[in-house]
Amino acid sequence: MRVGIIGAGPAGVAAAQVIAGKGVEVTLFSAEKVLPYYRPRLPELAFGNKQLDNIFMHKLEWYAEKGIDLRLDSKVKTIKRDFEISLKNGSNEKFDALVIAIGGGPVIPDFCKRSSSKNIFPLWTYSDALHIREQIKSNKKIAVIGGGVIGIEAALRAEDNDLRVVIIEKTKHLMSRNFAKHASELIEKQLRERNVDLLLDNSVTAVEDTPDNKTLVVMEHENGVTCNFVVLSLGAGFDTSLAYEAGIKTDRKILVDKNMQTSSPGIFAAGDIAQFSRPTACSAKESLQQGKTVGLNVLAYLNNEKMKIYEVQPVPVRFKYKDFEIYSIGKVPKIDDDEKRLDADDLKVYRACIYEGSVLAGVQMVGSNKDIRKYQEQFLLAKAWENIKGVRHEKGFEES
Amino acid sequence: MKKYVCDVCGYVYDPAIGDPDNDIEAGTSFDALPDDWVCPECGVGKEDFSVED
Ligand SMILES: Cc1cc2nc3c(=O)[nH]c(=O)nc-3n(C[C@H](O)[C@H](O)[C@H](O)COP(=O)(O)OP(=O)(O)OC[C@H]3O[C@@H](n4cnc5c(N)ncnc54)[C@H](O)[C@@H]3O)c2cc1C
Ligand SMILES: [Zn+2]
Repeated sequence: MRVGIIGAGPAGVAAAQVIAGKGVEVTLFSAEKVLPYYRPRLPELAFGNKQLDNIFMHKLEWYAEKGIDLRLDSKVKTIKRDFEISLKNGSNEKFDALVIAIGGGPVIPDFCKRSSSKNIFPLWTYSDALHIREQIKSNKKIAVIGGGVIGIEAALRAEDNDLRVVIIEKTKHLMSRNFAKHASELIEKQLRERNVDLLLDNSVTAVEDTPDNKTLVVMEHENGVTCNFVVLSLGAGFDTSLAYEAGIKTDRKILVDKNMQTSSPGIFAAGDIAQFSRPTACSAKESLQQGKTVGLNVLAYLNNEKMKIYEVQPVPVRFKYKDFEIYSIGKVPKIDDDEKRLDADDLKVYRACIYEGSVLAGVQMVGSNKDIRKYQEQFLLAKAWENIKGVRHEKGFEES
Repeated sequence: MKKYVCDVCGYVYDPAIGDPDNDIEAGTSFDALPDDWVCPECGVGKEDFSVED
């Protein structure tokens, strides 16, 4: 029997590893030319001053040893419900089960589509990171459009590499979907203290290259910003056409049931592209876990055995770079919410537990993630998120 | 002493180096790391690490 896995991020590779060696042939298709890598390390690859030697998940030989037929530069163009797939080179292949683990892609806004600038770079793939790396020579100025976690990480690392950095963000406060206003203000203060300029409450309307080889970012309310290049970090978008065109149910992403099977039996989805009742946040850890479960469930499907249930949990927004630390899970406090500060008089640190009655409904931290494990466990154990409105389907990592 | 790799981001914990930024001295084995130690690159806990092969 043969299983085809489409996409070689954490979800696809984990699924392949579980299925391989169990008497089933596994083929792992990747649209990219390089070996599967750790996407969370891309900001470091793009802006770091050290060479990164461990960004690839495994060496090429590993795949053959495990019995995984890894096909690089092999984008899957169409799939059918009888498990036949077609590749961009025109060939077709037939399988007995499929896993869709194609992840998402960067949101490219209209002002970029209209622009002829050669200096706009998303930060999503290995080759994106290398493009940015080429751009970096000292005394350059960059504009980061989008102040989510990835934008903030890019800005901090760029600043550390002697670039001048400005983050341009549409909302009034950074990360306002995940943090209370006073927490956001502290995040902003800490970024400014680290020489990251912020232009908040500002929508970019155009990006143009100037005759002197620079790039002008035009905004709604402010004078334009001139820089050498632009890093785009506006969150993730999802292309569901592969599934949709095969008649598989989709919403914003590809819909899966509690076993992570799509509406078409024997076709599973895992990772960022999979959606339970409502979209959850993107996360490498979550994707890896889903890939493992899907691997087991593909084997169960092929052997007519009972499948495992995947337990969906809230995904924290969490980021740490040197002494810049932020964390948020569950409910974001509003003004009249019951918020217990853990460091009452410390102006540099904000850590708070948010209660709903006596139940821990959310945890927020800026400036220090001390004791975060303790509170996260308490929060997850309380399972408050199953009952509290706005918590379970909290938007997270990618869309902030 | 064995090195451990973070399954999520590929960071390698090398006991010979420790994690000086987070007050972990060189010579600390992976098992001896405190329970609340997290991956310095991506923030996941010890349970998401595997022995380097
Ligand atoms: C810059 C950056 C930093 C991040 N940092 C963190 C972090 O610190 N912590 C964290 O938890 N998460 C982080 N994330 C998010 C995390 O990387 C994703 O949640 C995770 O990689 C999703 O895994 P996946 O397996 O679902 O898909 P992906 O990792 O997106 O992999 C999908 C793969 O499928 C390929 N593909 C797509 N279509 C096809 C097709 N038709 N045929 C064949 N192949 C196809 C794609 O090219 C891609 O290689 C970060 C993301 C980015 C972009
Ligand atoms: Zn890690």
